[in-house]
Amino acid sequence: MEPKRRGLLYWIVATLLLLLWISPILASLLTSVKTLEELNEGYYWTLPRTFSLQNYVEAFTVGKFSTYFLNSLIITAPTVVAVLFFSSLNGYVLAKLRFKWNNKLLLVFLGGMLLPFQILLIPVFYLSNQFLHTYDTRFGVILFHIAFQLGFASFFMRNFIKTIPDGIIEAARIDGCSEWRIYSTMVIPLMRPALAALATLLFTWIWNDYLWSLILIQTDQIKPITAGLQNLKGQWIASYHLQSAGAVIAAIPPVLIFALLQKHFIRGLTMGAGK
Amino acid sequence: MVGSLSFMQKRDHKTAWRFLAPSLVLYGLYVIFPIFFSLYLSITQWDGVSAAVTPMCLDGETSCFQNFIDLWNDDVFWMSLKNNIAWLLFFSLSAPLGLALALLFHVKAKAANFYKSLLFMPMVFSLVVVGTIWSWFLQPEFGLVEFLLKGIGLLKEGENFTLMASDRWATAGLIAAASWPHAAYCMVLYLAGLSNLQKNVIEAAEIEGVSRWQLLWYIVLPMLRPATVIVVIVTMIGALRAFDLISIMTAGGPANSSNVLALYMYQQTFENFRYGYGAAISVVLFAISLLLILLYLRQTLKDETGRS
Repeated sequence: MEPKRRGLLYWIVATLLLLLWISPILASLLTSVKTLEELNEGYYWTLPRTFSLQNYVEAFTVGKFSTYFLNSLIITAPTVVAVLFFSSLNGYVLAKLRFKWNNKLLLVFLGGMLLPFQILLIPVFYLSNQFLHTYDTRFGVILFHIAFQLGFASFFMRNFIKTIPDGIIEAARIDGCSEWRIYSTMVIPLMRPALAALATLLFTWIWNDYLWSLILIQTDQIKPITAGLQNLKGQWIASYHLQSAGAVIAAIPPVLIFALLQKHFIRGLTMGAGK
Repeated sequence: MVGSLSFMQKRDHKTAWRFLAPSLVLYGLYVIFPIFFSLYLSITQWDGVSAAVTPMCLDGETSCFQNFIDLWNDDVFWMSLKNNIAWLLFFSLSAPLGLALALLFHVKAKAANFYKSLLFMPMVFSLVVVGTIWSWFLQPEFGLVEFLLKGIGLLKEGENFTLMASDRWATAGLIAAASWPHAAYCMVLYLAGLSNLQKNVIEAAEIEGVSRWQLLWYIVLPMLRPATVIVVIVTMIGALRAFDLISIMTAGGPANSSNVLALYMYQQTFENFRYGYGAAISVVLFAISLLLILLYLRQTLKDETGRS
């Protein structure tokens, strides 16, 4: 099925399709490096007269994107680390321990990842506001993300840990290793590729979240970049040059991760076969 | 022998509980408990502030299901449901689109890898980014689409490209924007499926001299069935989850014409402070999703047993 070579016509069609496909991106990139004066004169879709990064500077300063960007990092990084840790523990139990609830637990984790978020919105808001007192903190958003991502991540880790031969784990048990030592010194080192794949997915999903910061954060100073971009749209209506620069900034971290770790990312998506 | 096994099992159980404990607490609190709490809230008229949350039928006059009765008579609810059905139908087109892209770019060449990376890219964008980019792309007076349509003469000078301001077409624009990253995701899954095809079957078919369409329809598509099932379910779940993009691009407007259940639930709850009513909408959404979730679980379990 895999064609070895394709002719010139194929490459022309493919290139045109690609250009069409990325034209929304190209439009925003182009607008983001144009000056307001040039746009006001009506030169929207010509090559920029001067290549200006002024819009990016403004997004970072006036649009407070430096704060939002940092908040996104503060929310995303610890969440990814915590999910990797807890989900690999869960995955180990589900894959390698004789635990009678394993099958039911797997169903609960799998089912949870497909829930419509709306069924969780009010109770999570209520919990954070009245019970845990984590409302309007970054920590509250982190806690929720950890909990929700555990569903997919535990399933994912279980599938990978299952591929480790039972023999080597049994051997370690007979040698008197504790389960914790087996997990931490044998399983985790073997799971490095899986953890990398999972980390790229988690980073992207959490960085890109908008809904939960909308529900759980009120103070502008601690909002992540997705909420910041939406603020920018609200405050500078019709300032498409600023909005475009903001969109590019918000997209850069996941695009970088994807560009650098594409293999891990794709493997994660196809092995997990679900979001 | 039996004694030692049960000893091992006991030891495993103890470890299992210890390993799972933090996750179970978090997951129970943030994912499991909320489902039941939402179900309960849907029979209340909670305003989000008062401490006591009691079912409204306790007064002996109101029906416990008053929220659902109100929903039945709520035009915006039906409008949203109708739009969700449109989403289910048309958002699903990202699956064949993803398949077509996968077939087209399933080529062994350095350049093709570069093309694929660029095609995948929308997949890693936040929907807020997608919404911002597409709002500008489809902007009625100066947007690129408007400019191009004027360039090829489909739009006359002085006319505006009013897709997103139209109460008939706004949902179409939203679904197009949402399909952009999602088709890329489908393409990834189909490319993985294509590279796992059994080569000998395809070679045998080619020797038999079947046409390319026959090959696709009778051999490749059936072999891609597992990928298709997952793609379809994930797509439908996505259609029901549609929120971010709509909230950013149209906020459900004009005049609720592009609203969907997920957004309407948010508006009723956090903008109108009708928590009970919002919970009732979320229960309807949950009921529809449950069907898909059960399908997904069945399929995944089938794959599991098939694999081992």
